[in-house]
Amino acid sequence: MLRSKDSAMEMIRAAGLDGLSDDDVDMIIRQLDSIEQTVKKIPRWPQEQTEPAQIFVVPLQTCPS
Amino acid sequence: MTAELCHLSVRGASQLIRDRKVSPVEIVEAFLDRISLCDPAIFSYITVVAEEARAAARHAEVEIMQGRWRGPLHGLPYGLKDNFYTAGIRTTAASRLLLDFVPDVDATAHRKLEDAGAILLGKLNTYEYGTGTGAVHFDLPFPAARNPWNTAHFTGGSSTGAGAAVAAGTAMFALGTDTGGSVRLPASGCGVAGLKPTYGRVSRAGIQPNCWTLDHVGPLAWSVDDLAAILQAIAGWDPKDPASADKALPNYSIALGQDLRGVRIGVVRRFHEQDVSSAPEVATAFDKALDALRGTGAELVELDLEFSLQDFRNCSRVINVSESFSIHEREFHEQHAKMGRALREKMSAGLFVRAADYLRAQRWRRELAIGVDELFASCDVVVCAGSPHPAPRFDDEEAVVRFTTESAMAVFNISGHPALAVCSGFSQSGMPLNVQFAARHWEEPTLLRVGSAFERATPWRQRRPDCGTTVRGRSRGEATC
Repeated sequence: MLRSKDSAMEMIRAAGLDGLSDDDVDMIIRQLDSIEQTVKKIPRWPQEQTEPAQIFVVPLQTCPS
Repeated sequence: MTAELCHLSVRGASQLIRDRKVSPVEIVEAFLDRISLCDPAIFSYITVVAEEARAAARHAEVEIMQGRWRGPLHGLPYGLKDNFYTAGIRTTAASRLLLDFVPDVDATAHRKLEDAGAILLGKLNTYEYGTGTGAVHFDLPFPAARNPWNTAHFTGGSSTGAGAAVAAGTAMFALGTDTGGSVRLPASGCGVAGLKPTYGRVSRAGIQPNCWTLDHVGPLAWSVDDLAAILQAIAGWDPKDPASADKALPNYSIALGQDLRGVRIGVVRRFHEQDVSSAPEVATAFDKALDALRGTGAELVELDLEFSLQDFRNCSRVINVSESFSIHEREFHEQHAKMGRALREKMSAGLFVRAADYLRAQRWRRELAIGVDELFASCDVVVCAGSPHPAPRFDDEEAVVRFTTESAMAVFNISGHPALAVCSGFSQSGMPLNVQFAARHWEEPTLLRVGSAFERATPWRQRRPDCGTTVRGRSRGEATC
């Protein structure tokens, strides 16, 4: 695990989760580290790109008419 | 006689019914018998609605005898993944959170099948809310579905019961949902045909969502020809689904039976040759599949894609956990102890994805989708790996995870292109192997034409599981069917 348990517990408390077992906390920390690693692999958008962003969340050519 | 009726094709059964040689009542009784025989070993169903099915069969019989034949699905029995709403019939999504939930409306796709005269047999097994890899599947309220080719083996998921039911003949066909391969993975694992249509082609209204922008509804059946008939019934615009597209419906069966002269097929090898270490049997079956396609007259061209499976998987994961967390946030805060481990893990990841990360993933998704779409500038249909492994034993958890996470299914959820998984042979241990085809948006007729020609050119539709092995379950004792 990459994250210290204390820092992770702060985030878990801030998210409003109560009544977690130690196993639950360990699981959440593992998932937190794992998703952070995944997010890091997604390219950041180039600052110089001025084209308006296409973030409408349907795939290509399938916008409902 | 039971097995014979349960192994009829949609087309074959429909013709017998229309010719009044077999009654829907006989067919439904045969399937209910088959469920009694097989399901104690394969657990394909969560809920069976035997009396409702019998009543619907009697009604269909009367209609047909009076000359009111509704079409090729009239009187044919099917199953629904247990995340489709069914009015008056419980819909659990395999979750302790919904054990007693009985909706008062029908999912649109279910309503369309009933309007076509098809007969619901019951609700099929799945992972909790369609979530997970199958490795942590034994803490749910129902036993995990088992593979009819060998009940010690995983089915592929998350439409686990749909794959098992069609392979075992406990449903003539089934509907599942597919967010990252959940129709095509169980089709692959269980040796049947599974179709994820173009995003927007089939309504998701009335279905427990998993991830709005990746969710699709799709059919599973023994053959590609059967899929065409089912898609014809369930496709079409639905104002209740904001992603539903108002596009004219083609005749999905019109090109079935044609050879592939004039069809250009792009071969994408990187998924199973570069990106993951596939089973040698899968690679061999892939090359033999190409030979079969050439034999039908298709022109094959080698293509590459600049993005890896890992790119698609990472993008898909961030989108999926974010949207799922948005869907289940309240339950996670209030009832997380009732959730199975796979769903809790997913919620835990979704808890910490920032809005900026989600939007970054959606923007990247567009780049990935453009990359996939560009393949079709050089071909009509793409052929690539589905899952690069045969369905493993349940007790090999790492292999179960690999079956799901190393598959190339999510590529086409990201891009929205229609994709089809079909059987491409069998491993030495007798488990089905698979290959995947994909086509341009809305080009399901071409996709089905290629899949159908491939099935006719290969012998794999002649083999059926005997469904007679002994179960040594972790959650149940021994059973046979």
